[in-house]
Amino acid sequence: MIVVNALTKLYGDVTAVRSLSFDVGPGEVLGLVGPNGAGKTTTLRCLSGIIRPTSGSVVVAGHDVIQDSVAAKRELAFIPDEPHLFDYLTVEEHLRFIARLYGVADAPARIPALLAELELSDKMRTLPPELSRGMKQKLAIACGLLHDPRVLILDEPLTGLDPAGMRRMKNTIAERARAGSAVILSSHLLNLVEELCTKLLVVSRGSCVAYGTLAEIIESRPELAGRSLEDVFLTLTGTGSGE
Amino acid sequence: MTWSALLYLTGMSVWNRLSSRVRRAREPRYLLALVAGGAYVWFFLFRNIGNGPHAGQGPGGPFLSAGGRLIVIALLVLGAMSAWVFGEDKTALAFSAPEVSLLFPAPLSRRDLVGYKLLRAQIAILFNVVIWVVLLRRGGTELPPLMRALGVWVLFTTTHLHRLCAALVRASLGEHGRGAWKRHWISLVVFGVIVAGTVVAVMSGIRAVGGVHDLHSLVAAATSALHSGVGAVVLWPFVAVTAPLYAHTTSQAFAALPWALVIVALHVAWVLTADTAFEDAAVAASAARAARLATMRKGRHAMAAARPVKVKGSVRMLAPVGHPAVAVIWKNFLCLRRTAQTRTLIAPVIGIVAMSAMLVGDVGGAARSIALGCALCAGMLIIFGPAIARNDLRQDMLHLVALKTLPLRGATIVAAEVASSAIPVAAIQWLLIVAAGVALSFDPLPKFGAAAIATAAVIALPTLLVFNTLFALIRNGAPILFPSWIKLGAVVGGGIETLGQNLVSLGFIVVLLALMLVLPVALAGGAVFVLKGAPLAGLAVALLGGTAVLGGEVAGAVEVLGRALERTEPGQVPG
Repeated sequence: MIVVNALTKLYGDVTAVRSLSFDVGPGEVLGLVGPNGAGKTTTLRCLSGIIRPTSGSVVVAGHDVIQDSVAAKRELAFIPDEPHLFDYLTVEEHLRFIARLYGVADAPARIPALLAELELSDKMRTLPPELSRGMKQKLAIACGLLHDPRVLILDEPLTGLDPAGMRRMKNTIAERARAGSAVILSSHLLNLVEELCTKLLVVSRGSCVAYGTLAEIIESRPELAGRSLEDVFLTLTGTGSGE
Repeated sequence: MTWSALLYLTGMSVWNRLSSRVRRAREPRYLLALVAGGAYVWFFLFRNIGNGPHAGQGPGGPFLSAGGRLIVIALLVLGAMSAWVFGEDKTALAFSAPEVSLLFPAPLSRRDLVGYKLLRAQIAILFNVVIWVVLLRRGGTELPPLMRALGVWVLFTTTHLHRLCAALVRASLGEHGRGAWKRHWISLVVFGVIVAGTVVAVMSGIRAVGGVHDLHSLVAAATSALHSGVGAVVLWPFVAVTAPLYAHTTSQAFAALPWALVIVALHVAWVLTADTAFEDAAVAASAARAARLATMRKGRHAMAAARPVKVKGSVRMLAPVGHPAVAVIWKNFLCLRRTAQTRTLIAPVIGIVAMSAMLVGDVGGAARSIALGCALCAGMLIIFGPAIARNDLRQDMLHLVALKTLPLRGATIVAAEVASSAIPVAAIQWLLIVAAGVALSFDPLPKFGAAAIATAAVIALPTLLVFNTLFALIRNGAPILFPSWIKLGAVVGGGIETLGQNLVSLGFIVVLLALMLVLPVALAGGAVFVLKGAPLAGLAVALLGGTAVLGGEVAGAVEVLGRALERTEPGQVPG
């Protein structure tokens, strides 16, 4: 569903992402983890077509993100850690805007259900500046899910959500994966990654330090056997003792 | 210990700000901006610095004259009263968001915070002192620059401290009511005495000169009010703080300086003891400033900053299927509808109506007057339209992350964004032109028939659309091609580099506009020349032909800008 090959992103002399290669198939959830400044957000932005890779390729549902960006973007949704909403569109208008962009013909029927699911029904005519941080995040999630994307890219999706919202978000991610979407999830919450992800991509300083299922990663590093995911992460990224 | 930390914060902030600007100048575009801004400042401020003082030349002459001093004192009195009565200057209390979150919970006394605020204000004051000393250099006095700088510093510092005091007292009164009246009674009594004394002094001054009939009698009355009777007492502080600046010799300035410094010291003591409501007032002022800055960055007019936006009426809902670019235009129309500052048009429209009404007598005929008013309004929109309708990339570049995830080509996004601001302006202009045409058709002495007017209205529509698209396109091109150059809606910031950026941007817009108009104007001119036997037909062909060529150029430019937008990364966009 999404195939990344030798993805590299340079900012001047600084290498933000160095030759990352991985793929995420339908129904898979990839956890992208790494310390601060490892290049996670840059990677997600390259996958979403927001920034252009310096080299390498990203193919979403058969469409190259650079060569065929419109077709690729039609198949994906990117939900950033900081919701980017238009100040002068109400909650409902945001969804209608997205519906038109992606040609969601049954949007009038789906919007109320989606808003109810995310507990935003009573905020339909509210502008984003009047929403709490968590509600803005829910609206961004609703915008991402409205067109049933085949590839779902999430950057710290639980930021700002209350416990019930977190539970619902986790269920939603799992449901989307079960429905056949490929999901890429970046988070510092290792328990979330452990709970949802079918495989991991651990990055540090822009490079891949481990990739595969947790079992595969531990198999390649036998000294990590029996350790918690936190210990595994700290050891792999060299950001702690791992003890 | 505390002050060393605050001094460190102040010093390092200034140093880092300067050094980051110097580092940025390694990039050619910032270097160009710095050179352009520096050249502008040099030309207007420092060009003749080596020529020595010339009495009466330059802005310093009138400013440093006796009349100039009267005006300055009058402005000081009015400014002080305004600060007390209207309290419009809450920015005197405002801290930045990091200052509120880091300094307010820190183990600092209120006095430390107020002192820090005064220290930060001194940076701006000292900068302004340098500018004013240079501006006043050719003022015709013998004062050495350092003494003149001291005079300007006393004036600016006292003004700032007084505004700060007034803001603190007003905040305290607002919060604590009667209790605050008791605490600040001395300040309030002094203020009341000065107001009453000033009124009495002005009335006496007017009586002394036998009424105000002209500028000379006004100056005489003001001088009398200032130097005799009650005025000499109640207005003495204002005279004293201006005395060092208006001294003619160094010895005069030295004689005046101690009293001026006493007034500054009294104000400092006043600020440091009148700080009861400081934190609450400062936090409120800081929050208001932060909201204002945020809204300005989002492109709304500064005067409308922070006003709550109402979700107006029912807008026709967007159908879920159809060309996706329409969604962008629909979004931007909603933005315009909810943010347009039509109030800013009231004064110019009143002016135009008045001008048109005055012309009724000269030209004759209400119909022609209405037509003229409509035409003037349409013309005015050429200048003000793009400033009012900013519902395009000038706002949406701040949402570049969201824009770049849309399943649209870059050129489609650019076209939709540009159309969002061009269409409303063109539509209003067209309606005005139609109104002008209708009005002319009622003219008792029509020079144009109804058919000619109708034809003109039909031809005007595409012409206006293309012209407004061109204007909007050029203004939208800047944030795409030079995202770091353009303040996206922001009016904050400044400095030589920003000044240079604005100059270079303006030059760029003018040159581009001229280049794009060369071919269409040449073609239109050719059509008029060839069809000079039939001027109306020639004009129609010229307009339509020029519009077609310009439309082709615009379409090409949209493609180019679309590709540029696809290459622009969020990190390149400030704010």
